[in-house]
Amino acid sequence: MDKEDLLYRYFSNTLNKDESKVLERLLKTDMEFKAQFEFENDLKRVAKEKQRNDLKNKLQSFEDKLAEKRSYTAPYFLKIAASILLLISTIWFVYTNFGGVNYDKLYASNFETYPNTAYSITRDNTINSIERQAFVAYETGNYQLAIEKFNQEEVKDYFYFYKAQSYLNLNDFKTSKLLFSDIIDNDYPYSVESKWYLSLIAIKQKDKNSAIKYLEDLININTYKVEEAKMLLEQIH
Amino acid sequence: MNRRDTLITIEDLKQGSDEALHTVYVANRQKFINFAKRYNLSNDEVLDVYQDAYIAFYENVMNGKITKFTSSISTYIISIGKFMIFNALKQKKKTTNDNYDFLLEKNDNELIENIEIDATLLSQEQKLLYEHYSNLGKKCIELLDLFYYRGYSIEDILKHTHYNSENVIKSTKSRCLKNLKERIFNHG
Repeated sequence: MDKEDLLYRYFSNTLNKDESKVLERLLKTDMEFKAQFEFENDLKRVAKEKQRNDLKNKLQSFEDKLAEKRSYTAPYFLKIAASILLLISTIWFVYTNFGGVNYDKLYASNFETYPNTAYSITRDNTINSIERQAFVAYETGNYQLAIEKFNQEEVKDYFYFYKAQSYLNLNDFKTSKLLFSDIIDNDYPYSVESKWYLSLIAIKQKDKNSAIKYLEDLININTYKVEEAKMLLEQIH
Repeated sequence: MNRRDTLITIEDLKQGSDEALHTVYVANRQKFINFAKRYNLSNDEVLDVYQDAYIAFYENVMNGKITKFTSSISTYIISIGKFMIFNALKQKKKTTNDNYDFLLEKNDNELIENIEIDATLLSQEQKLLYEHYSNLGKKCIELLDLFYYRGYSIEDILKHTHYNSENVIKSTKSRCLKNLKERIFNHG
């Protein structure tokens, strides 16, 4: 049994006595194994903490609902008046928040197509594979063809990002948004970069709250477009 | 036992339905508040302990330490809550009475001795890990949660999720762990 299997069996509580002894011995003699064991043990604790915090938030939302129920129920005419007031404030809010910012301009001044860093196209590359054709099309700005070629080839994790880029360049925001979200959900390559492009799409679509969320994520992750994200956040606030 | 939560079974809670979670929360809340009044705690503190005790109870249902109800749900939550108040008062020395054992009666001890009440705080390394773990994609979090928190085997995960094969699950898990390590390594 290899070391990975041994850890797997430990964390799924299926170690037998002999395997437990091997594990104990390795923990004493193999520092690399010990480090991996401690990492996964910490992960177990952290997964519990995350569940606990999520649950606590859920219970707090029950509490908030109970507080809402206990609060004063207004008569019908007051509810109508409140609705009208809410409508007026919403119009005012939309006007003041979106009226002052030129979202199209912000998008245009920040958007740049991500360069091909995944596949090396060299002049003496005689193998004209479909993947090569896809990236040649991408690099030459023929995004429709790039998508067709990406779809013909067996999918590799990084294709999703370049497909999303291609759709974005064709102004198909809906499809590119779905692909970028999928990259983040699955932790495919370029997931941090995808957040940047999702923030730009949100700006283009005047979805201020989503833009803020993605930009704040980028600032927290602190690896890609951090300064740009800070600046953009200031501009849309 | 409260009328509303008598209909809730361990299986209902184990399935993780929000409805069961909500029903049990509401059904036992006032009883807990009434019980906690005697401990000189603010309303917010009482609700905080109630939620923590409820979470500890729920965790023990999920991890299989509570397999059948030998008492009413409210008795479990109150016993766990007493234990937590006991610890909190000990730390804060909020009352002048240094003997807190009066809080925990024999029945409480019997009820909670077989269950797990983990009140340890995260270490610095774990806090960093938590931050990066929380920022993983939701599919990675879901898979790592099933494996490390719920203790599912790869076969269990295959049975309960949309993955096509055990190999896909294993390689996805390895990729998620690798991503997590890289994020920690890159951002300290």
